[in-house]
Amino acid sequence: MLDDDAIFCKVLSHYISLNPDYSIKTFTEASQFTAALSQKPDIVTIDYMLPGSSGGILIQQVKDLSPESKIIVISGQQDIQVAIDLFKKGAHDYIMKDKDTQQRLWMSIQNIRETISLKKEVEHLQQEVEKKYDFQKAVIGNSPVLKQVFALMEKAVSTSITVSISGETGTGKELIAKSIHFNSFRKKHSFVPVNVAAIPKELLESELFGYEKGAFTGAASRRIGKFEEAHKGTLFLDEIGEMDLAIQAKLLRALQEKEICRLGSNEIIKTDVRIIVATHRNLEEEVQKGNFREDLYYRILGLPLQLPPLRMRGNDILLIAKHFIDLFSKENDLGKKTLSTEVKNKLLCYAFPGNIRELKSVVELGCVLSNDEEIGIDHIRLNTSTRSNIALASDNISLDDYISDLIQHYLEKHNYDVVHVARLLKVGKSTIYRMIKSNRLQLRRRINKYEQPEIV
Amino acid sequence: MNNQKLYSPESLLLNCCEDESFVHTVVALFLQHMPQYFQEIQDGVATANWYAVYRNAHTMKASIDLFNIIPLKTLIREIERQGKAEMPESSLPMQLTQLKDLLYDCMKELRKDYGIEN
Repeated sequence: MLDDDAIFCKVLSHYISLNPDYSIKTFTEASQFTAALSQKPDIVTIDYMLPGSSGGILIQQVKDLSPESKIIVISGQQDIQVAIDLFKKGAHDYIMKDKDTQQRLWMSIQNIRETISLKKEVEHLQQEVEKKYDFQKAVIGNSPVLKQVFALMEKAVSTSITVSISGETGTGKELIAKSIHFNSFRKKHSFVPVNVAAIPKELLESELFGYEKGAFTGAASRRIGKFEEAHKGTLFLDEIGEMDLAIQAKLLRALQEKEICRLGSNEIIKTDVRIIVATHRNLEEEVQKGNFREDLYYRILGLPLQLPPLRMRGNDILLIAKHFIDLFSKENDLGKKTLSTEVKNKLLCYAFPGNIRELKSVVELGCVLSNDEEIGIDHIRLNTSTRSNIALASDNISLDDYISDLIQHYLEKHNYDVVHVARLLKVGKSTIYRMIKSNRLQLRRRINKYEQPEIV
Repeated sequence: MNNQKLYSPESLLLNCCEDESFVHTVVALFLQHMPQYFQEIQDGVATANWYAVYRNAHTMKASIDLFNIIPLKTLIREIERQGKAEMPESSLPMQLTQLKDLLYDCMKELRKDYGIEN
């Protein structure tokens, strides 16, 4: 606290020191005050008018010597221009010397304290997030296929290259995208995920690019889109293969020109966004089928990252299972839990069509069902209703069953599109319908991409 | 009784967070510094150093408000204004005399009320 008026300074410091959390030092001379800035105070108060100095000069000195300190100027000057100039120079607050000075200063310090506290909390959380998404900690496993993924991720973090992640459902595409973001120089800015499949196509454009008030019925106020939200950060477009062709054209323009226009506006907004896309589809095939624009495909291909399915990751299955068991046991206070040898062998042989997401559910249920430390074979429920997962790997199967399982597998993979599966497997669609009729195959209702699957 | 005083003990106590011992400290500081500020105003007028007149009047103003010395409130602002404008008016010498008389009367009251020796 710097004020050449010893009386006023004493009264103010006494008032503020009523809060025992505050430690205050007072100075009546600018030279002593600037010498003490090496102690990096959280807050400094400066009298605007001091002999041989001025508020403007002192603000600059504080900014040079203790840049994190918040500056409150206390002055008897009623000139609004003085206040504006001081704010421009970096003052946090400007308080007039009058009968309310004490209370105003108290409130100002309280506000700064909350800001500092929030800032520290954000920094702490940011560090936690960085730790959480450290490659080795976030993505568990040491299989050769995963090591290849790590190597490519290392390449991805050092630049802003677009990354296209492909892999079956549940292989951790979003986790990989987050890990790339939080290990890149963009980590201080936002990671904005957009699940393209979850947003109706007529809403996707406004979601991505934002809109102005009155742009369409219901646009009651301006809203920024995901591109603007992700400025200087990362935009993660999950399930990009589901994107409507009309929006694909607009996305292509946004990526090429690095600029967007909100709906209902002609204003061009420059964006600096790193794009990561993910899909479970084979986009090359989608291009050939005319479902995906070829120019956009080449624009987003960037660095392709193919995530291996869990069944190809060998012992990673057990490492990941242990991670989920430890986490679940800790969260639910279940004590130590381990997998029996029999369970381990069973998990290693299982195909995990739902990949890591399925493994998590399986072991969490195992934790709940087992009363003892050991999770036994009776506590593990694997999805054997669709035999295709296991039958293809078994050596105890008839040709008829093999064919049924194969077609069933394709039907599930391709959303029960009989015509499409028949074309892929080069069999007549009537053959498939016949097998369905004779109950050799199960046909579920085709799933609309915006709704949850409904089993019939 | 209080109405007859030049300063307001109530305002002072309130501004000192109703801490009697701290009021003593503040009164002691007032007695120590105010004559010095006044002297610098006088010297400033004598040497036409109007910045010194303005700055010291400005400093005294805060303490006069703190002690709520009503008869001095307008007077000190008048002197401050003339110092800032560097345009002394013919009434300035008389205003200085008024300031000195009232200030020293007030200090006499404070010494008496708080038992502080010269």
